[in-house]
Parts: sequence; structure tokens; C-alpha cells
Amino acid sequence: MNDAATFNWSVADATRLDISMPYYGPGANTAVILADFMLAPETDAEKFQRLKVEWEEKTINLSSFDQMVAHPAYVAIIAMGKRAVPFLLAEIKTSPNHWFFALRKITGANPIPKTAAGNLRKMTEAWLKWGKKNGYPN
Amino acid sequence: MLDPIEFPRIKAEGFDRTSDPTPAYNCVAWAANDQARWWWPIGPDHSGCEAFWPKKAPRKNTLKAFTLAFKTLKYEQCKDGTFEKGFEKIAIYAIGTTPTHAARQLPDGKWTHKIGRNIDISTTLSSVEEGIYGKAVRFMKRKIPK
Repeated sequence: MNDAATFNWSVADATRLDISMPYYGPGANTAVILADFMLAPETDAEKFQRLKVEWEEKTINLSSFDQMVAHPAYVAIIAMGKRAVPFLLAEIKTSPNHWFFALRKITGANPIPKTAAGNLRKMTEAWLKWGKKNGYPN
Repeated sequence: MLDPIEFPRIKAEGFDRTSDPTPAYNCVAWAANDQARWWWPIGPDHSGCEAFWPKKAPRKNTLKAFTLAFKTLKYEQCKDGTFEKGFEKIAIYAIGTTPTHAARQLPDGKWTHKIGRNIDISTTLSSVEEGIYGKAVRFMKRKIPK
């Protein structure tokens, strides 16, 4: 967005442009290329990050597991399907949180032993072990 | 730090922060004196192990299930949250009849709350009412062992 400001272009300006061109030819307008960049759909990583932050912020004060996993951002991460799994595993590795329900709903796996129920560290270990076994690099 | 929209009474009644935020345990666990697990009668599909719940209590998000969960810790239902010397009390909050939160009374009569994945606080029973937790609707007590 800082680049757009340099060119004195806004998102509103960009939306008025025809950016349907299949490639950028030699005479392509810099502003058109910039507009295309600005309007590009989110990558999976960006989408996961946005939804994760929203969920963390909006549900931090909830104790109810039902309410936590019913939040639209959490549901949207589940809806990403298997594309979300590497991000979820990376997330629990660096910053353990209650992503285990999403992992189970997406993968159908249930690696948490009953003796580890509710224990964040043990649940994290169980899922990271599952990830390693199923070809997700840690 | 605590959103006044979610906790409309907290500013007026005040609170002391007593811990850092952590997702390791929740209010029910904290009320049960367990800082190692997240207690809840499980999520929407009732089939995973993402939360701990005592075996002798049903895995349902009902006041009866919460009452039975605390009964496993020798708590018995009582009338209210008034301080009684020699007893430890817990309170279960609900919106309608759906449990949302639990708190434990401290020896000085104040109540300790774990706020979701956020901080622990020491405050009154009513300071977290009327927002996202609804009201304290059920009280239980047990004798403090000598």
C-alpha cells in the first residue's frame, strides 16, 4: 500500500481499471500492474494468518469450547481444508493454542490419547507426532 | 485489557490481575484448582479429546453436567455465594441455562476468575456478570480440609 501511495493510486482507483489482461506486455502500465498486485487474492498463508489473528482476538475471553470453535474465523479455517493443515501444525508448534479440533475436523485423525485430554502440551505433542508421520515437515 | 462491551461491570467494580494470559487452562479448570488442563464437556461433535471432563459427569453443556463435574471434587450445591468460614465455594455462570464460566471463592471472600485464554483476575462475583458470561446461577461448596 505504501507503493500505491508513491504512485498516488488508491484501491478505489485500482478497482476502476481493467486488469483482466492475461499477461503484462512490454508496454504495460506500471499502475495497472500495481493494481493487479493490490487486488490479488490472498494466499493461503495470508488467509490463515488473518483468520487466526481474528479468532485469537475475538475469542480470548471465552471459556466455552463450543463458542470458541463455532467462531466464524475458526470455522473458516476448517473450511480451508487440508490447505490449512501445515499452517495449523506450524502454529501449534510455535504458539500452542486450541487448534486441535480444527485439525481433527479437517484430517479425520484423532491422535490425542484420552489420558492427554485437555492438556495443551500433550495434545500439541500428539498432533506434531501425527504431522511428522503423515508427511508434514516440522 | 478486558473489553467493557464483554464485561460491562468490570470497570466499576474493579479487579486485580493475578496471572499472565495462557491457553493451558480455563475458568472451569481454575475453579477446580487444575492449571494443567482445559476443562469443558467437549465441543460440538462430542467425540474428541480436546478438553478434559470428569468421567462421572455427562459430556453435555448443561448445568447438571457442570454440577456433577464439581461433585466429583466433593462440592455440594448451596444457596448462594455468600462467604462461609471453613468452606470453599464455586459459582457457575450461564446464559439462560447454558454454562459459560466458573469462578472460585478465595479465603478472603473475593472470587478468582480465569478469563478464557486470557488472564486470571481477583474480583467480585458480579463484576463479570451481564456480559458474555451471563449470570452466576449455581453455587456449590465444600469444606476446606483442616
